[in-house]
Amino acid sequence: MQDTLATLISALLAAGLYATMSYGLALIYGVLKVINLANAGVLMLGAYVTWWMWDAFHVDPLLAPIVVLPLFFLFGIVLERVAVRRVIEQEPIVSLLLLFGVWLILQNIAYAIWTGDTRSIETPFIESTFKLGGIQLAWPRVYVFVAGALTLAVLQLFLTKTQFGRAIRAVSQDREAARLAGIDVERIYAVAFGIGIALSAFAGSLLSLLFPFGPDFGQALQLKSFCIVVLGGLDSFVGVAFGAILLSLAEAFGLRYMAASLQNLISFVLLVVVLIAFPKGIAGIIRSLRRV
Amino acid sequence: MKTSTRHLAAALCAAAFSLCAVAAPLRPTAADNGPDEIVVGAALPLTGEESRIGGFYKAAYELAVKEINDLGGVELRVYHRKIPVKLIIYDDKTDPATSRNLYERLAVQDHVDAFLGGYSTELVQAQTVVPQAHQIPYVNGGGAATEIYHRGFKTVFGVLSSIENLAYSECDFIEQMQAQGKLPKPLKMAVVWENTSHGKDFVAGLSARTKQKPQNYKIVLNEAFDLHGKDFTPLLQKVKATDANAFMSDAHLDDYITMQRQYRQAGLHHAYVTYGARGPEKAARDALGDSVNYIFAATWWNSQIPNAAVRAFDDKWAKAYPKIPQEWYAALPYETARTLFIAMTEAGSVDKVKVTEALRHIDIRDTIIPGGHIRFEADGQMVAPFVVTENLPGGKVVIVYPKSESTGSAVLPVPSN
Repeated sequence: MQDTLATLISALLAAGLYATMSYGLALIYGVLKVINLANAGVLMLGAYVTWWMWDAFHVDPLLAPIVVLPLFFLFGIVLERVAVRRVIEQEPIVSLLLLFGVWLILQNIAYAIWTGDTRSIETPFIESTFKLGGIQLAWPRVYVFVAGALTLAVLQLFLTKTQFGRAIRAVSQDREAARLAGIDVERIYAVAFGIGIALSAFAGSLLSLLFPFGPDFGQALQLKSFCIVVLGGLDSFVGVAFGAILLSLAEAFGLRYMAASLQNLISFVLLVVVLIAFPKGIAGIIRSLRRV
Repeated sequence: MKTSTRHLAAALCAAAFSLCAVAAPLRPTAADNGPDEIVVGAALPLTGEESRIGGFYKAAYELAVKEINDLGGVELRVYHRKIPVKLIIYDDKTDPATSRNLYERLAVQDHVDAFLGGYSTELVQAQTVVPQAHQIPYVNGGGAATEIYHRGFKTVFGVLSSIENLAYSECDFIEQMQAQGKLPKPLKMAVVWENTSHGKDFVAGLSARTKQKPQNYKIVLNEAFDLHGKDFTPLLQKVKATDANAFMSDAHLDDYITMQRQYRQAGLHHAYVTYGARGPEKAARDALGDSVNYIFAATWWNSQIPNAAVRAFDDKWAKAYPKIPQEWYAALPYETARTLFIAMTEAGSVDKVKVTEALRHIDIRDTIIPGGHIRFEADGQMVAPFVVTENLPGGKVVIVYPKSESTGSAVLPVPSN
């Protein structure tokens, strides 16, 4: 019983982490219909900026998002204006390759600046743990979970309660209709891309509290993010959150009976099954249930 | 007409042969004064996941080459003189396919006389097909998996003793501690290992010893994990569910750091904790601080080995690279290059067959490697003892095994916080 509870809590905490690193990907796909292959590079840079502020200026890594979010929002806007906008109307493969190229550039910049050394942040908070009903939990994992849940709440509020958020949703549903209604679609693209990149960098900043990293950081997580976004439905944050929970539960409980080396296999089997059986993901299932 | 054509053809042939005669001896042969230089090549992971360690290998090879060139080069008997070494190093970006291609380039375009090896089992495994195909002698200090040497490659030699042997060294130490009552008997081991030939050798060594001495060991968990993993918590929960009193992991540096952090966060504690060859690295201490205390490691080398040759190497290294610590990643490639140069001296030439033969029979006694002795087995891999170290508070690392090389006594069982 204790083991099952520990596995459940661990899975939920991992879900918070998985969801946080997937929101940016989902937002960018939802609005621009572009798969952001540079997501892993942005995760990595978010981690590096957090580490660099801590290492060079002794800035508490918990405060790093204050700098990371606006910095990467601006970076996202610039990237959209300079590169993505030029290919957005072309075949999907063009934007895919473009952002893959951006990822490689970011990776090589990181190698040039910080070398390939494994970096990690070490603070008393990162080492801190507490016990809940006999189960030992790490504070950083709880923090990441809470940050993920708050991000989801803020995003939902932003998209449903603000004028700009409604405009973003309108563009994601039908860009031509939104244009006809007087929405500046290009501006929405730039801001949505900026928010998506900022969310990915924020996730990277949170991940630096949990994992050591180097310029290749984010590769494995990127694959997991794709699974979650497909599971959740490509353009729904609530779906992404459910996708993250589903994946982390499948991994955690699956690995109780399977070898740990099969952890990634679980993600990819889920991805294939969902693509075949429910191509619109959890969000699609919820929508069809509502219609019924 | 036919005659004139024949004359023209003959003249062209003669011209071609004359050109060949001028162009062929780009590098003089034994009949002359010998080559101007001995060309040695390597492809190293200077960027990519293993770039930190690749940097050590580059620095070590360059130090060894500088040292021999400062003495005039490698003494080659057939030319009655010393010939300087030219070292060519390429960056394989930690990619096995690139690595293999670069060794091909070293063989075909750069016409190297011998190869020095790269780092990490995966890369060494990929690149060693080239020396076999071109029959060029190859010595490495970066691939320890037995699989590399069990393919019957005749020109491939490695100065890293096998990971199975690493496991045996740790077991020898554990048995000593059991005899002193510092560790329980049998030691119930939760064995987790990276899913590579490196990890497989580790678990093979532990399994073999467990079979041989069931009164000393019991494996209560035997599980592989993916290299460069991110979330080891499900695996560590499995470890927690066992009644193991030893946590035996075989991991690369980044996995060691991630796993040990999550191990601590999960509140795990065992009487004996090891990550195989990883443990005392500066990068791990920087990343984990006091969480690395009391971790045991079996390594191919340690700068504290009480031996005059090691002290001399420490001084040389500190002088050449004051900012790069003396880790085994520095010592082993240095000794790798030195072994190749000694083999060339013993062969008396850079003839590939003779150098390979010299490597096969080499017997070097004044080395910095534990046990001080370099000699290759029939499969090309060296068998040497490992040193077992323990990390202690205050950034200290002590050698606890073998007794002849120990610099302190082991703190066991691992104290709980």
